[in-house]
Amino acid sequence: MKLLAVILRVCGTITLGLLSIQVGCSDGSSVSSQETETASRAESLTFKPKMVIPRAFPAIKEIDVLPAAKASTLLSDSELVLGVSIGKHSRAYPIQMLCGPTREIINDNLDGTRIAATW
Amino acid sequence: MLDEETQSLWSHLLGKCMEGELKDTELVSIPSVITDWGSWKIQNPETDAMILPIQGRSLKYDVSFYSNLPERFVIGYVSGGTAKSYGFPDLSKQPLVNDEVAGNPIVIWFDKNSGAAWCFDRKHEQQILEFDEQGGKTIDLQTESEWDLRKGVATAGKMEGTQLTPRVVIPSFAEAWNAFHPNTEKWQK
Repeated sequence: MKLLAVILRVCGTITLGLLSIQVGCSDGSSVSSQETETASRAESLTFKPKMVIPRAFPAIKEIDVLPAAKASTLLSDSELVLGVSIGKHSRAYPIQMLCGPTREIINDNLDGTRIAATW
Repeated sequence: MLDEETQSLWSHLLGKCMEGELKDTELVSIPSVITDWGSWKIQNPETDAMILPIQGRSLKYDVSFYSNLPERFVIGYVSGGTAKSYGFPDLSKQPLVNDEVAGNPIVIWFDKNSGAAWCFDRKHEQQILEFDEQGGKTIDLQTESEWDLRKGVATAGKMEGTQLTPRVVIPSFAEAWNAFHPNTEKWQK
């Protein structure tokens, strides 16, 4: 099932690429609490990855960006973007451009923070 | 989702490595928002935008994506092991939500036109703020300061300049959220 966009800070030198995993969950899982400083993921799930495309695509590690005025010649005001601000920098990832199995994870560096923008 | 370095498998909704050498490693989720480009530019005038050639798909992701079928979507929030979802139809009727999840007081602000949502801690230093709409402005009842709840910052009044801590909220298909968080709480308006 398709999940909507999340931005994650990538630790160390992890580069994320897409394998198109579908995650299944067991019903009636018990919840066990686990305190962490990150947004915590406490419920126990059954992880059932399923490969839906035959091979992993190369990770996207470099992208072109345009300042807002130039980007506006390519983007319509009503189209959806995934927006993030880190420090003094803000960036929008147009959802239309994140579509397609090779696109759904962008490894990026914003204001010195390495992030993965995922859709 | 896998990483090149170790080929471990990750869940992007959970931000967690599920299988492989890095199993149980958690990445930090960073507050972000899905909104329309027009609003994003206004709120963030210095923004840039990623540009990649558009591939294939004919489905247009614009604001109608959410407004056509709001009952399919929720805003999801997780704190201290507790997940809670806020359905788009209810948020459309009450876009400003003062809530408390796992003991953490939060405020959610929802824009029904775009499906965008922002979330901040309502606790600032030792004070817990409660927000309300009055006279077309968003204020806190404790000091009557005015706030921009897209930025979580007070724009006028006693608390002018105060910045609340942003928290991660994610728009999700309701069924996906329920699958990853089978014990999720569900907000009732």
